[in-house]
Amino acid sequence: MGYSSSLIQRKFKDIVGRRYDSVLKDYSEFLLTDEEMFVPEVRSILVPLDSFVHDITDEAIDVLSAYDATVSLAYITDADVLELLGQALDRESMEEFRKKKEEYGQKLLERTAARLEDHGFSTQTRMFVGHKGDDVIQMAKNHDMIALCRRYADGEATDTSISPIVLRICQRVETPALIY
Amino acid sequence: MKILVLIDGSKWSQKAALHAIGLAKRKNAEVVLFSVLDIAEAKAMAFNFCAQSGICEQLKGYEGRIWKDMRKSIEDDQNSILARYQGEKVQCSSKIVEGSIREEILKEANSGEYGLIVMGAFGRSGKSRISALLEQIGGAVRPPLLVVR
Repeated sequence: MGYSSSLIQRKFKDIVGRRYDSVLKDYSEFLLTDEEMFVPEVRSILVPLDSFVHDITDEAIDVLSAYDATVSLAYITDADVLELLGQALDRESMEEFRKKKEEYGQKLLERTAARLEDHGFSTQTRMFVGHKGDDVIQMAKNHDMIALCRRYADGEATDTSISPIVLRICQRVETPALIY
Repeated sequence: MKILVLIDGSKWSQKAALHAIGLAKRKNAEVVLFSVLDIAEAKAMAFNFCAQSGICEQLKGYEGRIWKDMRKSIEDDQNSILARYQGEKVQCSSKIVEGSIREEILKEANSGEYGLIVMGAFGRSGKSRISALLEQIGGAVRPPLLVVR
């Protein structure tokens, strides 16, 4: 008998008796199946970056170093902001903004990749215009873990709050998420 | 490294504890299982049950029973996880405190002792929404926070 089955039976045996199987099915949302108990290996870690994320902390690198994983760094320039700028100002201003963001992003990607490589990680980098929440959720499907700065995609986050985009990503991804 | 694993009695915190085993082995880390019991929860459960069942005269008795069950349940959870850790030869201890869940977790997590906090993505309300605890502590916990699913 698996650990989870034993746990479920221990918790519910007095209450449900012979109805154990039906409780297991009806309340599966609250119970742990053997399949869900499996802890998959972490071979690839997605680390999204943006202008609100200045660095990966030493503490986060220390945790990530526990996994023998490749780190994919992704810098996303917000498509909605570009579109707003294009509408409010003009195309030239929008392009200038995009260029500056991408110059910053390129430097951030190079700096972060170099730092991680110094710690023995192999890295990949990617930069594109997109939607920080949805695109990260989509990209996370091809990775085993995601590491997010608590300020990602939200310059308004304070010392005691967490970006709502980070919460949304944590809600939607199927992988473990490291918040630093 | 010392790892703090938050145990709330949900299946997700059980899984968080399992995930932490591998991490602890690779980092040669010590693990502390941490749970907070909040009397307000026992009061709310007892009040709602008694009010709906029309047995308000038994309210205090129910509150005492629920409170006792809550403690026993979390002790059982922690003991089964401790046994698992012992089997895996990972150094592990457990701690149960009483008080406000957010405040007690932040006090422990930000004590400077821990290099990582591990918790489940969902709580006892099931998989329908992200753990309310994550919203409450996510921004205020100083060490990295690993959310397991």
